[in-house]
Amino acid sequence: MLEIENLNKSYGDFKALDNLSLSIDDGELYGFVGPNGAGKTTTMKIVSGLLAADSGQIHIAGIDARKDIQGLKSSIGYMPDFFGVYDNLKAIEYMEFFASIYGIDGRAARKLSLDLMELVNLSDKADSYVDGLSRGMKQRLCLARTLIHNPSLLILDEPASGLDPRARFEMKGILNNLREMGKTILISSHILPELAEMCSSVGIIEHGKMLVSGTVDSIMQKMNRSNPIVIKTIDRKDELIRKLKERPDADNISITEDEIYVGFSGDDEEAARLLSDLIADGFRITSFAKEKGSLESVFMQIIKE
Amino acid sequence: MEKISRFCINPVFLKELRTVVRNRKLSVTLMVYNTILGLVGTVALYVIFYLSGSSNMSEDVVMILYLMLTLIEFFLICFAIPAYTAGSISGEREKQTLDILLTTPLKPASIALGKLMSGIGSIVLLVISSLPILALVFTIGGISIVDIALYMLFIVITAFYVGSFGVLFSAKFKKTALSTVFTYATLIFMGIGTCVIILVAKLVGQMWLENMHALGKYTQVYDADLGYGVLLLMINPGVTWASLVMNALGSKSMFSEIIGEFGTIPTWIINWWFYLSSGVQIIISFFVIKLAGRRLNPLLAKNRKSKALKKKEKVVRTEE
Ligand SMILES: Nc1ncnc2c1ncn2[C@@H]1O[C@H](COP(=O)(O)OP(=O)(O)O)[C@@H](O)[C@H]1O
Ligand SMILES: [Mg+2]
Repeated sequence: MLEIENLNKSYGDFKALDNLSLSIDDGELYGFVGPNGAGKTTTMKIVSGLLAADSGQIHIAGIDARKDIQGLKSSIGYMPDFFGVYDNLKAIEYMEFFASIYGIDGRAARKLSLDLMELVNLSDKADSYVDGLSRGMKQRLCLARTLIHNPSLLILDEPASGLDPRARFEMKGILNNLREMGKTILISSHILPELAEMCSSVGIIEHGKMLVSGTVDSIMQKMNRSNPIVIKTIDRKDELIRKLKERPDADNISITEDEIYVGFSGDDEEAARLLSDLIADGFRITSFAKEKGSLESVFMQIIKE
Repeated sequence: MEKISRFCINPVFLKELRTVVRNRKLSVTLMVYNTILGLVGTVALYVIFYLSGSSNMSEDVVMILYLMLTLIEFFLICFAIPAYTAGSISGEREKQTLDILLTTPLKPASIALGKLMSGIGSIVLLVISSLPILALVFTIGGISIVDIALYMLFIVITAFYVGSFGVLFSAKFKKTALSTVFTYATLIFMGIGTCVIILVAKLVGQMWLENMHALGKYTQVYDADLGYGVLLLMINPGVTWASLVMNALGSKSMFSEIIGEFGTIPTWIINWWFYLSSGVQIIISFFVIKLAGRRLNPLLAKNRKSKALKKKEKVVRTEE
């Protein structure tokens, strides 16, 4: 759906995007994560045609986004990181205003607006003035607005920031619905847990560089590799540690009260061999497992590196 | 045709109109403005009737009243419009709604036009709302309904003309204060600057001719004549106002004499000055709106910047 290749963007001497590439398949919910100032908004603005890149390629559903601007505009729905409110406008009028921009007027506009507002659970707020809505409601109204022209790719810049947990939960539900409707969604956040459970893929960006990108599973697998093995034994702990230290594929050994953490560089095959070796040596092992990483620990680990 | 009407009566304008009309400030302004105007009109009528005896009113008094009221309204428009338009785009930028609009198929120039129309909308509404009062006062004297209609047209065109610069500067500068300053500066140039240029050109020309005479090159002192140079005044809404008012007051010859003082141009241009200058100003406005649209187009604006950067890089390279 979206292919970004070697995107570069500088603000004066400051390099905001450095050869950034990413790829999102149809129907994915892609989490674009990175600390503040990493370049998420810059990337999203470029993809939405609001900012010119210095170099790089962007293809949306096969069309060259830098050449076919109208094609780009019709296939994306962009929601900026700050929600702008027009004073003295009702929610339904806000929707109808954008419908009219797309040439939808009158009864059709009203029906579409109401349908979309229902989709984001705002049916009862149609006649409320926009400036009186809560932040979460404004956010959802803005989301409904991005859907007016039925775009296939949604670009949502930090839609969950500043929302209370309940509003965030609601937003998640809506995003899941949209995904079921077949939308591809690119969503950014500077906080990973916001996205961790619902994304199918993530890309982690820092200083304008993509650090890792891929499906959640593949990233976890890659990162799990470097996670330590945790071993529990009934007795002969010191002897076990001495034994481990002799091995070339184990290092960084640390001990807590009853667990031994071993940084192990081998693959699963070699880990199995390690276990059978230890048992053959007569150690009475009760637990032998790779520490399970969370996406968050992966994130922290990557950012630290 | 449909394309043009869709370009002019665009969604941005309609939306803004709705919010402007809802604003309580507007109804209060409308009321205060028309109350004052109504009072002035009533007093004026009373004075006219009282001074001249009800049978035979002095047309001169009506003329002066007409002159004063139209001038006041003209100044009001000139000073209010920059304030109403210079923040139109920067305000949208601050609210972050500009980005949203720019991701829609709406043409940037269309956005600029919508902003201009709504910026001038409330002012024009103000003036139009005063129409009955003006008509009441003037139809008594020598001013016809047609004159008043033309005057209304003039006000709308002036608002459009001055406002287009407000929108352009608002698109160009991030700070509303800066764009306001630039809009007023443009207004001062159009209103006073053009006159100063014509005056100075005339004086310098006259001095040169006198010099030539003193040197014995010319046998007599000719009058400096700027010829078509006076057409510069076409961009001056003040001169447009003068042409309109003098026409209405039946002193067309005075206008033609004043212009003729600086440059000789065909009489038909003088006769049609109001329409011609209005046309020129409308064309300029559309051009300015197009420019504002260009400024709003993020891809175009940045393209220009990156070209400048490339030039800089080239210079650095050649220096090496
Ligand atoms: N218009 C701009 N001019 C100069 N620097 C900018 C501009 N916009 C963003 N930046 C800088 O580019 C970097 C990336 O910004 P941004 O894309 O907004 O990051 P994020 O959305 O990930 O927080 C930041 O360091 C920011 O200061
Ligand atoms: Mg951001």
